[in-house]
Amino acid sequence: MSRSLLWLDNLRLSFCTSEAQIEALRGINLSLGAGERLGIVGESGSGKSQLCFATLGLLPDNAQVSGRVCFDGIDLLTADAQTVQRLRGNQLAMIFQDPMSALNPYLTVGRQLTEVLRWHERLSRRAAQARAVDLLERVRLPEASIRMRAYPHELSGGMRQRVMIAMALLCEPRLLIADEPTTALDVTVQTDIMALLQTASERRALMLISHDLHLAAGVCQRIVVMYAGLFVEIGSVEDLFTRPAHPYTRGLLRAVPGHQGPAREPLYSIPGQPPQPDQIPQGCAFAPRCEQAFSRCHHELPPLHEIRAGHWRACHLDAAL
Amino acid sequence: MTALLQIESLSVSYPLDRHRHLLAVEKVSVELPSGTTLAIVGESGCGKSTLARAVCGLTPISSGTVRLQGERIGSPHQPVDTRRIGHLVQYIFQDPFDALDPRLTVRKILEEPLRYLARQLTAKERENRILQALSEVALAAEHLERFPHEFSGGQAQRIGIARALVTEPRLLLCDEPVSALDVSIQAQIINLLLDLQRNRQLGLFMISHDLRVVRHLADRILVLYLGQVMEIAPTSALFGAAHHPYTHALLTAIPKSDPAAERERLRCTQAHLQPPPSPIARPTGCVFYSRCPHADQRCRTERPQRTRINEQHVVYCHHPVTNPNLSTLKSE
Ligand SMILES: Nc1ncnc2c1ncn2[C@@H]1O[C@H](COP(=O)(O)OP(=O)(O)O)[C@@H](O)[C@H]1O
Ligand SMILES: Nc1ncnc2c1ncn2[C@@H]1O[C@H](COP(=O)(O)OP(=O)(O)O)[C@@H](O)[C@H]1O
Ligand code: SF4
Ligand code: SF4
Ligand SMILES: [Mg+2]
Ligand SMILES: [Mg+2]
Repeated sequence: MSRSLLWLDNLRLSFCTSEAQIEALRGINLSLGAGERLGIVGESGSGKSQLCFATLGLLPDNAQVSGRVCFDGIDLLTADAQTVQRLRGNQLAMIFQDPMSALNPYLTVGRQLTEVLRWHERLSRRAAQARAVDLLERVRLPEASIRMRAYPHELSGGMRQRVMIAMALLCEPRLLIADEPTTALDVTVQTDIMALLQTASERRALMLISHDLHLAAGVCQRIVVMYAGLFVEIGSVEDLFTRPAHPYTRGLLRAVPGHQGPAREPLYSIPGQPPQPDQIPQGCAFAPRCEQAFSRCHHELPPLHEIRAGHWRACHLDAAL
Repeated sequence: MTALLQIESLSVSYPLDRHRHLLAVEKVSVELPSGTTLAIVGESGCGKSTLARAVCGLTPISSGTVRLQGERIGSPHQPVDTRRIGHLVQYIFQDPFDALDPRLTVRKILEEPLRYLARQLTAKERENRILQALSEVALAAEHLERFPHEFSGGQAQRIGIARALVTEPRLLLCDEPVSALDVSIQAQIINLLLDLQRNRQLGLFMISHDLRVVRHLADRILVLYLGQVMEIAPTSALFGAAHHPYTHALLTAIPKSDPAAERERLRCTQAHLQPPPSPIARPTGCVFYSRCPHADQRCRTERPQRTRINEQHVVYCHHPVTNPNLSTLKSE
């Protein structure tokens, strides 16, 4: 464990709302090496975004949290605010699905970039300006020096996402977290942004949230599949695609149209829907939708266990299957 | 046999202010035979929704005509009369929650179209239609008294589809019906649409930006760019022998099913497709000119006319290619 950059130890996160108790993360364990690229996939509501926020030490007011989030040996959940702030400024950075939510609408792109540089790196105005243009060119924003004077709303969605990535790369973070960075973009632009992330993460660790397994596979080395606040499978991209071990992962891979199976014939589909966050079933949360569920699945939570070197699964089925 | 839907040289423009207008759809011609699926693909803002909205009368037509079962139902002088044809053509929206009135029960939501579009029905017949539609989308009678917020996204989309079915339409205009849904739910809704099409001989006008979905569902595909048709082809021909440079660009944007191939695809992405030019200031020649690797002088000044590859396959390009060199696709 000593060599991992990020280490999550039995991370639990729940929300107390007036109506219900919502368990968003139900015991997450993860170790991410420096420079490693990890993809996290799962349906909406499975806890992917909360996992990102917790990793940044950002917790909503109504959240209760336990466990550990250690970045480079420092537990972000217990460290003082100043330390966390400093780490977030220059070691950890996040790219959001909607860049508008993270960019200041009243400041030009150039101003937002240079301000961070001047504050964090104490660069002169001119040096900061040059670095910012350089970064915008690195994220291949067309006509970077002109765009420095643009306000976020004057840019297309794809350009805004490039600016967001440039912002995230400003201080050369060691861990880049991207939460569905292309979901709101056109497919043509999506490819570009993914290619950019592939390059941007060459010298740093990446945690990429995506609901598209195939896209994540192009960028990441390892994939985690989440369901109802838990990891249900972890493995190398090759493991997951050539020998998916959890019934949910297998279902996800089969349900994508256009890759296999004859057109216009019924697609394989996973029956039912994910549980309501305040009504997660006992035992295996996937059991109500699982074609292979048996009685044990309904009352005993399957632990995540290693079925092959580096390949983990949370399922009661015989591993030999 | 006349097609279920015939769109002829249809244009739609939105007035922006007193002097300017935005030509969102320009001279689109296409047919949709009964019981088949026509998919409309293209980047956001290219006019997909406008085209669908014009077909069902939600947006006025600027020029051209729309025919349904051979009968002219819309033109600039004859706005589509939703009271007359609304029961035959129904719309399904991307965000099911947006499209359902949160204050109404499912029963009220399903009754609404019947009250306007099928007033001749008796109370008993209305009830039968509602129960029939509900069972076709695999919801139960017990759901009738609930409100939209009590349903998941997939279930809400089923309600949206049931609402479209009660009037016994011939044509469903599906505007990104699965884009907001998770993969596992998406497959369920795709299967539902396929079932309905088979059982009811429905025509589907299917808007989607996901070519994987389109490949599975569509019989024919129309590629739209900046309001104009670039290519129309049967699905297998579009995926196997596309002729338009823009179609090729869209095809290379599909994630590969094999991770190694996907890594390679991303690595080879040197083409940085920027958003299309503003629809207000349209180029005079080919609208794809600014991004096309095959563009020449003629493309800049002269708008390409329709070229027939065969009976089923048309392309609008001066230099159609089947095997393009995409690595040279221009950036902005
Ligand atoms: N501030 C909050 N208060 C209450 N519940 C929340 C809050 N934020 C998120 N949740 C719930 O936590 C669960 C996990 O959410 P999230 O991490 O956003 O999922 P994902 O990103 O995988 O779609 C969801 O059920 C969501 O409704
Ligand atoms: N009501 C409207 N008024 C003015 N412009 C509109 C209106 N609706 C759409 N547009 C414009 O028309 C073009 C096509 O839009 P739309 O049909 O919604 O595209 P798509 O569905 O392909 O994303 C876009 O440039 C859009 O901004
Ligand atoms: S533990 Fe049981 S219900 Fe859960 S995935 Fe495995 S077989 Fe299915
Ligand atoms: S007409 Fe010219 S610019 Fe337009 S798509 Fe064809 S080759 Fe490219
Ligand atoms: Mg999320
Ligand atoms: Mg649209």
